[in-house]
Amino acid sequence: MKKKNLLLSLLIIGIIISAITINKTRQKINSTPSIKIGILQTASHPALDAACQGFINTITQNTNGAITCVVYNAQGSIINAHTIAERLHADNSIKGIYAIATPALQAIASVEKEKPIFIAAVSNPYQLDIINKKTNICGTTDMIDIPGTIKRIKDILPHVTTIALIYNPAENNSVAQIAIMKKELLLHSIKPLPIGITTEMEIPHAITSALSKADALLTPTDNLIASAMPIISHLSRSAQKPLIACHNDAVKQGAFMARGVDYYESGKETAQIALTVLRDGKKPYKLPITPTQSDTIIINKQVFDELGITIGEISDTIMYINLSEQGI
Amino acid sequence: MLSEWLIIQGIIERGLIFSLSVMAIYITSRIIHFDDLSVEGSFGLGGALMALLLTHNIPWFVALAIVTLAGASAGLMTGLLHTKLKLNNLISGIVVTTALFSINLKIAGSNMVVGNKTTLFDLIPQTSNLKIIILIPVICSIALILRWFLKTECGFLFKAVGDNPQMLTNLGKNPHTYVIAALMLANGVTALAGGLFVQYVGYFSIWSSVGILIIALAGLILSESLAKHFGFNLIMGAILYQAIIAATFELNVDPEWNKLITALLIILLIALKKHSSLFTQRQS
Repeated sequence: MKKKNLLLSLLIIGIIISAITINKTRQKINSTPSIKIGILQTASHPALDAACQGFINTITQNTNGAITCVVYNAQGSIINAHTIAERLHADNSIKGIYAIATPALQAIASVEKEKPIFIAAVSNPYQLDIINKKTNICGTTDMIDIPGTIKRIKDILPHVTTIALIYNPAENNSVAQIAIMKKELLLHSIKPLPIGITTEMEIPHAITSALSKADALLTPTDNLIASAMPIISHLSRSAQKPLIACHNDAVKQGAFMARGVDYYESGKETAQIALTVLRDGKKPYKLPITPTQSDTIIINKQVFDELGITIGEISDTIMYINLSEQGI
Repeated sequence: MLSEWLIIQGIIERGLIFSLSVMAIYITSRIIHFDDLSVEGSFGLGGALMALLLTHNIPWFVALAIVTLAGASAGLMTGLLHTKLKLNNLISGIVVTTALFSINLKIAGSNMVVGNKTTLFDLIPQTSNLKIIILIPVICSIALILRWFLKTECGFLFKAVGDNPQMLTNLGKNPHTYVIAALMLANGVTALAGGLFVQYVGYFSIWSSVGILIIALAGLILSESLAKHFGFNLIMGAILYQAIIAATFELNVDPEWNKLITALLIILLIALKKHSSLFTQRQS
């Protein structure tokens, strides 16, 4: 009986291995001389999806199909990210990797030292100890201009005295941004009220409690908060308090204003950088990692009317967007 | 052929590391019949502590020992909550995992990079990238030690705690002591897996422990379709589950279907096994 079990397990592993091998051979037969880029996306939420879409659209438009993209999504699991990273590393038909958000970058950087890695939605790549002189990493960061944003909040909402900072203490980028936010808010004599959330289940309780204590909500570029944006904006609209976000897609989901990263644009910019590497043969270490924030303030017109705010003289461009009430 | 080998090597390496968690789940749920959910927390604790110790230049072998002890103390907590405060076993595991999430954040933050500190995997030249050469003997010897231990007197008493606690009382032993000891062993082994995983990937992330429970349980179920005893079947089960995940990505379907495909592959494998054993029984 034992021998049979051993044989069976070997058989199963054999089937899986042959499935992988057959799939590979099939790919080799089917493959045209086109270049492939493997996309490793950390999780699915509108901001990261936008970064992925912006990249793919730009690549397809500029190359007429000479460069194709294969999307892999780790669905929030670090272990899945590693499995995909190894797959991309091993696949010789893939000439470059596009890593979306920090966990994806860390996973791919731990195995891939040669093929170029293009990044987006990574706040602080330098802190991760993977950028060096001969680095194979280039692209864009989503680090935001926090002092500038806080100043605009003070201009637009002068009566605010307490701001709740909604973030996930288990996300590196958020923790770093929150530290700066706290300092800057105190400089403008606004009291920061940090609210840490680690799972989506806690959000309704945490937001309701925050709204009762603070005059406004502010969120950094945080993956958990980004996926829960509809519920956060819904709660803050019911409480008639402004919600300020640091990524522009949030405004479409009912946040009051944002002056931050447009992830679709950052995907497009990273795609342009990828093209200079893959098509023009530039070396990744010769390219800077560029920030992608724009100075435009984006305001949701409906929320603006609901709150009844009047905006005085501001030097920045303000873009109002109108959205129907559907879905929110 | 080289590229296929790289993928398979990765599957085996991760399977070997997670097989330690499968062994831990085997000890708790199959030997002492205590469904312990704290393994998810202790895997993270092992990783967090490992990252912290390595960045403070503690040698990797000392760090592995400390990490195992820390995991054992997490198991001690679960055991004490269950036996002294009479908390339900599931609740004590959940409480410990929840608490450890904060503790892990305090230890290592959400993300800690180990950098180029010397680890277990530096015993071979780094360029060769054959971590598998180190993992196979390490994991196999841990499995053998545990198998030997479960055959000692203490190991039999563990089994007795699960099957017939009254027998221990009749022997003049306290069953609670053995429940706690088994939990300490299981969580220590899981924390060791967490520590090895951090050395393997080179950084700690608070999210890497999320889903370990499912990996360990699925590995255990798959291994039981091979054999029910404690042995290399547990390692095989863990590797099989990693192979299933890798196969899902290899099929290259719409990413949103991934988890469904993984689930279908697991069902297929277990059904296949059930079916084949029916077949052999009929033959004999």
